[in-house]
Amino acid sequence: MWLRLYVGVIMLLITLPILVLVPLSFSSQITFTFPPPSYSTKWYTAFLENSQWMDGLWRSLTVAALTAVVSTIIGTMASMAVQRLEFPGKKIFTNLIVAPMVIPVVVVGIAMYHTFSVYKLTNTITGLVLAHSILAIPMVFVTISASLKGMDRNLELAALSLGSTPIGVFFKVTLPLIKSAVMASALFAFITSLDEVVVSIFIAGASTKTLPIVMWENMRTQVDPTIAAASTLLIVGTVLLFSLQGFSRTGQKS
Amino acid sequence: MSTKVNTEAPVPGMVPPLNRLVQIPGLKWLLLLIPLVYTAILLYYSMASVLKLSVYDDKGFTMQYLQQVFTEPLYLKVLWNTLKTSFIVMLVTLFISYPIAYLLVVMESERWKKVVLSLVMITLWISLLVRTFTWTVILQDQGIINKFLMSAGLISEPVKLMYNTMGVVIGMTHILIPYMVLSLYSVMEGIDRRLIQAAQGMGARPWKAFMQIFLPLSLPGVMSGSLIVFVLGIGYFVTPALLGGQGNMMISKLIQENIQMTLNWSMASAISVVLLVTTLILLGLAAWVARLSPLLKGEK
Repeated sequence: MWLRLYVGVIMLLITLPILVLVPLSFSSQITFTFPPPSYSTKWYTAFLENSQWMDGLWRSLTVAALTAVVSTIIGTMASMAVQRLEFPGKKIFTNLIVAPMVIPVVVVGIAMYHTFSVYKLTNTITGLVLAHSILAIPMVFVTISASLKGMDRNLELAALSLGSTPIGVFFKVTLPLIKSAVMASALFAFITSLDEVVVSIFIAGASTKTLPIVMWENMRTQVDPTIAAASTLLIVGTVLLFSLQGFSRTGQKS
Repeated sequence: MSTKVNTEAPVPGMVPPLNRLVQIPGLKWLLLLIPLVYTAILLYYSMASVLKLSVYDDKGFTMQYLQQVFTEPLYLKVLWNTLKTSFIVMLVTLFISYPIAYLLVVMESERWKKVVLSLVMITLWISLLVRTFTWTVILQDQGIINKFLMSAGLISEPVKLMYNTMGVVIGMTHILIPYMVLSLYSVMEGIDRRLIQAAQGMGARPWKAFMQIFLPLSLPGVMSGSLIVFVLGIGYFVTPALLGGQGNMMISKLIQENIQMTLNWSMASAISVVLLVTTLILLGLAAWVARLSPLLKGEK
């Protein structure tokens, strides 16, 4: 009983701080007074009317969508290679693919900044997508690998023995079976990119600021409650995506 | 593997249009090569070329920069602060996460288990910037905590909760809890609960059964979870930069400042080498713990 109570309190302490931003985003004041003395939607209007925020948002969504596509394809290839091919150094290959999960992001950031400057990729959408995909591929790789490990290989073997080609088997048998894992990993990649700030600080330039960069600069200079509105929208978006992913997973089981 | 089985000739008509492509020998190796080349060029080549700057400058090979990291008080202070902060965060995270993971394992109700896990996962998903920002709002001098304590008459003037180690620890702990919970949970789930029932059946009190059976068996999870949180902690940038003050900079921020403010690539590179090597050593340790633990070996 005590354990439940204790964990309940911890869970509240973990969840509530995030929700603090929601009432603040509806504040009529310019300061972060809690609870707000009166409510208004003016910070949402400010968010929607400010081109810096809106451009950042659309740019972030574009970069995140492209990152999701690129990293899902490459991450799936890598996990197919590990799960379906025999080759020496498989363990090293796996480590090389998942390493960006634990390599300090700043190191990844300065490394790419250094190389991308040479090839004129800084301050470009392409540069951001390439950089974000490196951080998202491990997520895809881990998710798809788990799904591939869990699936029944006999279905693939049956299709092969019936005359299908390996590529045909992949698109007609394997892919439909791991579909929900592919969607989940694309979602992980999307969110990874949408939230990425450290590498973007180096790669993004004046004309390619993503939403997190706008937020980051805002937090460090003139904090105004527009950022609370932006944060609330991000929280709502995340929770929606999360429940979406939950649905796709339950769909897989049934 | 898969091609070995495909000894029969493909039946015409049943084969997808990619047929001719498949005939190219070695095509399947593209699965391996494309991701390898992609990450190798983008990440490892970039890393190698930037890390080279730590030992090479215009005049050739030099150990000057690495030496500076370990001798100059400023750098030593940042190194020490990073290790200290990450260590505190690791301990706090562990103490908060252990009961959560334990409850997840012993809880009977599937629905509540799902609720707790979902809450943990959602906090992991919500933007890192948003989670850090919310703490700046809560912890500032005019923030919720200080306002509350002052109106309750417990304090007469605001307590400094951020721009110090305290703020960084609170923010980072909040962000790293999910990693710890998931590490602990994955190990605890593998523990045979019948062992505890057996201990209790032979007369051990629940607390004793927990201390002598469950806790030791969960240690591999404690070790790997702690190492992972520590590794992530020493590389953190956003949270310490926003919640920490001038006096307690962490390594990542120092690297960024060397690049963007003083343009000192060699120095930034030397500090990166130190950060990276520390990370690798800790990860090696984590892998070693996981391998040595009889529990993990037995489970697989």
